[in-house]
Amino acid sequence: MRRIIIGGSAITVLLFGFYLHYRGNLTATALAASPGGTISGRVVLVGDAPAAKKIKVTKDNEKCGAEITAEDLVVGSDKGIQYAVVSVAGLKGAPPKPANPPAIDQKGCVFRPHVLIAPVGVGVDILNSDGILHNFHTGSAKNSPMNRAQPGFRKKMTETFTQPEIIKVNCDAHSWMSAWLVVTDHPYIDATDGSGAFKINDVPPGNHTVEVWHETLGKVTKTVAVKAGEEAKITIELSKK
Amino acid sequence: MKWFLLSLGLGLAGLLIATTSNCADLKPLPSSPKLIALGKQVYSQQCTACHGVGGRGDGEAAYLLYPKPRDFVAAKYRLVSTWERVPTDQDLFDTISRGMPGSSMPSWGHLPAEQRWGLVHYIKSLAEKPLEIKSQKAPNAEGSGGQGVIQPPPAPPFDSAARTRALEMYKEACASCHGATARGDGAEKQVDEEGYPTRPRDLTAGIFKGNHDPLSLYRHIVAGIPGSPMPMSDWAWGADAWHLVNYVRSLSSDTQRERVEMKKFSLQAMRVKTLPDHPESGIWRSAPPVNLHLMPLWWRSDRPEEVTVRAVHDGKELAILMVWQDDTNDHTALRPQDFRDAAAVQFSLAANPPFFAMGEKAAAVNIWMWKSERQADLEPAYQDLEKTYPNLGIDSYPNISRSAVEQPFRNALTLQSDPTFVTGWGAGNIVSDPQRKSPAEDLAARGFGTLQARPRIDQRVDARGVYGHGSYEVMFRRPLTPNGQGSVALQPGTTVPVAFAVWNGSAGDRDGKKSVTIWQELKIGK
Repeated sequence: MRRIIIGGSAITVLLFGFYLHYRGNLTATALAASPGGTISGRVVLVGDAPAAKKIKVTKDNEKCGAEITAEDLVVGSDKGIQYAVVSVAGLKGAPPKPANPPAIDQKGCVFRPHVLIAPVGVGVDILNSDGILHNFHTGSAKNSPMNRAQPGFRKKMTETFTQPEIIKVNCDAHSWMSAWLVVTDHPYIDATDGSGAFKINDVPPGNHTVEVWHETLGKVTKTVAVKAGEEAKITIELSKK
Repeated sequence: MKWFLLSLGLGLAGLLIATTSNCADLKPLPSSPKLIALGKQVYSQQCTACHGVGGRGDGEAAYLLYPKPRDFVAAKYRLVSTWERVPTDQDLFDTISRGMPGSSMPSWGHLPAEQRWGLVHYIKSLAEKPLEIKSQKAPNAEGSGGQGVIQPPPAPPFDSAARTRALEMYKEACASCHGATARGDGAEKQVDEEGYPTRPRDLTAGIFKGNHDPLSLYRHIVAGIPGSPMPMSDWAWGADAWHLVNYVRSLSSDTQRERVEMKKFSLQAMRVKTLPDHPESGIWRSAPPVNLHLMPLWWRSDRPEEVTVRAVHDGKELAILMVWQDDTNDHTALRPQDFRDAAAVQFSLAANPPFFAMGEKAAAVNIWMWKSERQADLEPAYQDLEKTYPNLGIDSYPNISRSAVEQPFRNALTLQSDPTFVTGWGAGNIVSDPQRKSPAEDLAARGFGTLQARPRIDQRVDARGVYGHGSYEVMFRRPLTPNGQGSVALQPGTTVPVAFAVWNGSAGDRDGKKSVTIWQELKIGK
């Protein structure tokens, strides 16, 4: 008799669990379905744009070329800053499920792209188009740090990151190589393109704080009001300290 | 027949591996409060000087050391055998037991196993994040997804096909950093995760940070060396890593690999009828030589690797001979940028010795030091400034012990000056005395920065050093009976802890920048 009761309560707990799960899904669907707004705009540099740093390549020249342009501060047309990460603070939501897995390539002894946004729990493809030894060395604190060798014959490795974090990536075989892996647990995030432009869709209406992070210029925030179905345009200025 | 020999060879190799790992294990002791307490006690005596009281790698001596002592709080360990790149208890035990060649971490294998296990559990307790190893899981064929301790498949034979494959893999995956000739001469400048400069190992030098038995090396290749630029090579899991292990081991010899381990040896000072009176005396031939392993505190590849030591006594005096290689005879130290060659013997006053570097506050050590420029000062004459700067004008002070007409003008050299104005000499410090008759000093220390000369009247250490054919031979002599406080007693029939140090002046060695041995035992025969 007692066994039946225990069994029964287990079923109840299970059912309740399903209910919660279902409800959770409902809420998420409802949020996504409700018409959100868009935040778009540009991240620009205040002051003169510095000349791009050139780094002389001292090894593997047949694959890496003679010179590499540093990407720690890339300023494009109209002073738009490339590779800034723009996100909406405090918003929660299921990480976006990309159609293709996020990928970072090592080509010409440069990580491409220099900044990659990857959802938590989704395998990141690490490609080696160069066909020479690279190593993927992360300086992460929340995710377990990794440093994996990728000899030329190993065209693809996959690595999954479980904690949201901005992770610096290096290659010890080529000291100039660096990239940033932005692991996110929500979809309200974008990296700026060559003209400094970004766009974040489906933002719930309301007042939000937009955060901008750049590897050499640091962090700034700006508040923005988002209305359903409308596009809030902002320009965020970063300056050298 | 060939097959028979091959399988015999493999069998023997297997036996060898089994024996080594059996010796190393000695059954791990599980953590217990009692064991942690024991570890803490040993830690405070032997480890704090470098690793710091709180284990942050910031001990008193840390600034003299390169590579830097490990920070046990951050707990980012280099030598790991697991897929998650976290050390097992056995990894930590092995590192403590063998030390880390290529750094100033010596072997502590002479401590009882229980104390070493105590240390393992004590330093683990300092970690801010517990060291966790996942449950055992084999990786897939590509080497991905493994968990727990890396368990390689059985080793394939290292035949010519395997060697060819190893060379190919080395070229593809290792040469970029370790260099095409494996001498650690890849073109890239590298730093470790703390930002300190680091270099890929010269694989022909036989300096392996961790154990170099095939299984350990296999795991170090596959797991990489966390914190350093050496990446995980999970791609090599399976046969390739074995081929690389065999190839890399073939680049150095057992002798080389053993020489870099900072071990404790035993020296016998046998009784002889007549003591040698010169480093090249034939009497030394009757004393068994012992090659002691030296390590520079600030690691460099150009270093004295060994010092050969002999000792004898005649019932009244002890004589010790140190022989080591040095390409240059640096015997002047007149310019600020010049440093002398030197050698020293350190004795513990207690049978249970304090920390091996300069003793401790509560436990003094007695040090005999020989300096090459002191030797040159006696043969034939004091090397004054004019040796380096002939006709240099030097300001002088009046010598009040001389008459007015005898007063020095300019160019008064040290020996012509009034000692009152050459402060160290005037104060009676034997180290500054230009008229001393011995190239040796009898010193005492109680920890870093406390070295001082023993009283002038107690100076009884005699020494003589000769240089030739790229090596030094330096002998020390002192009566067996101690004189005064801080003087070591050398009773026949006793065992005295002894350590050695060597300075290479042209490499900039001075003071704490030197090459040292850990405590050795000196058995004085009856």
